[in-house]
Amino acid sequence: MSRFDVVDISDYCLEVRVESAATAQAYARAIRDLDLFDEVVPGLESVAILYHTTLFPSDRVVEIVRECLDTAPAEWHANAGERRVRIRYGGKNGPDFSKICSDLGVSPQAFISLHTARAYRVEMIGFTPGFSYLGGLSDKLNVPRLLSPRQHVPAGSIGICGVYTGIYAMGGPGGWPIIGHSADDFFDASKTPPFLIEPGMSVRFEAI
Amino acid sequence: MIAEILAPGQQTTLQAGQRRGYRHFGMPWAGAADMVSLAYANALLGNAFEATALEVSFGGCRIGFEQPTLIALAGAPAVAQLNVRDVNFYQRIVVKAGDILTLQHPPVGVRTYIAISGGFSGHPMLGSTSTYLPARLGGYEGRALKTGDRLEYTPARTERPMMELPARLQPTLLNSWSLRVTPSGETALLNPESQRHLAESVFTVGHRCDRMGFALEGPRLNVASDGLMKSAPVFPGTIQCPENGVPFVLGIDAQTTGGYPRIASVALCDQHLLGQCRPGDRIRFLIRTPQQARDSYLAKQNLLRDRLPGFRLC
Repeated sequence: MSRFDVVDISDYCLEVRVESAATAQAYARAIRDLDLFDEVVPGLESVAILYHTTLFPSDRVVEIVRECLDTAPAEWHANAGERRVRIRYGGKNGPDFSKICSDLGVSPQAFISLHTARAYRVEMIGFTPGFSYLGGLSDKLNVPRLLSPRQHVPAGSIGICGVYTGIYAMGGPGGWPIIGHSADDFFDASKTPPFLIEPGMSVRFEAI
Repeated sequence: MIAEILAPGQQTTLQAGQRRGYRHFGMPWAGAADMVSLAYANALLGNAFEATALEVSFGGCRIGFEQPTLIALAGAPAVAQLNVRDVNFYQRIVVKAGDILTLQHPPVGVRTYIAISGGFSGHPMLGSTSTYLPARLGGYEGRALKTGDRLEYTPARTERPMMELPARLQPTLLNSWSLRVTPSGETALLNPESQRHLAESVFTVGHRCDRMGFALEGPRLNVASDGLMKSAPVFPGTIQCPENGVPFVLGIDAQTTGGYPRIASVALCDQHLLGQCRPGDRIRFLIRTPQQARDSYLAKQNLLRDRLPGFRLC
């Protein structure tokens, strides 16, 4: 009995449908580790597999994927690891920090202890290169997106939005309120992998 | 050796092959929006198909060459002059020191490729020199070219025999397109009437049209979506439809995940044409099963084999 459906989402991509981001991440990693496919991309409830249609008939890809996932863990990958991220809250580092604290009715200290109290899971990376959606934010810190997104948010910026906190690994446009900044190198093209934060990892913040 | 941008036109970037294998980190592919035209321009010079070239959107650019070389033009057909002499697309053009290439505005298509013998130097990043504008990486300082930018190139050399392309085999572009598409992840959310519209109506390429993609104006489609779809993987060629009923096609710079229903996907064999779809162009979609689309891919691949031996559409 299969725990998942596999469907075509195009003539060169299959998608595995799963129940949770945790399973999507674990499965994506297991399939990527086969090193057979150009791209293995997890969504929140799916994993897309891009294959060479001239190398693999699609039914063969389905077989390979099913075989691989029969033995794959269905939860977060144990080897994804943990990262500590040093963050400076507020001021120039977090231009939206004071306003968010007053909107939420919490003191800056209370905000920082709530934000640093938990380990967050990297549920998804996307939207812009290396941008990580860290799940598990306290519901006391639930804020909406900015009314008008910023044209440019510097690399290392840390934002919050809804149930997520997130890290901008590279500079780019962004609509999340920014609470702080980390000087850690989240992107280094000379490293393998080039991004410090990987899907499935757990992340803890440390105020400095 | 230096080529100087004397006028950049609306948007000119360095593009080459795609930056593949990093979509799970949120890294889009970038690369030539019309990879077949890039391959033609390079093959005419004996370059690798994906050698770094200029992608000029909507023409209107001027480039000065400070040392002799060979160049070739392919893609959106604009009147082109070397100094005061007209030069043709799909032919090698001998450039002398001090020559100036001028490209007018193409009447059809969007992107003209200017390849140079040996390729332009671009900043390599994760296996590709292609410019990805939103994150400012690759290419020339990660950005579109400006007047006064100085591009480096190497002395003329060839990596493989130079291709000849007789006039009768040269691609022509029009302002209406028939693109093969397959169903995608959430096609079932379209009601039967909207599925019929997708298969039978003529859509128009919307005004905002760039490397990220373009909207499809025409009949509004009805997607049964509560707006709460979980972000799912998307690719160049994915057609998404938000609740407002106006679908859009993702281009070669497509982000890696999206939260709108994926109602169709442009078949691999026709994706290179998306790079030439221009605001106001008309598009009809030909609905195919994934297997039919894969057969069409093989057919087109065979067709291109004579002209571009070893080239792979992807």
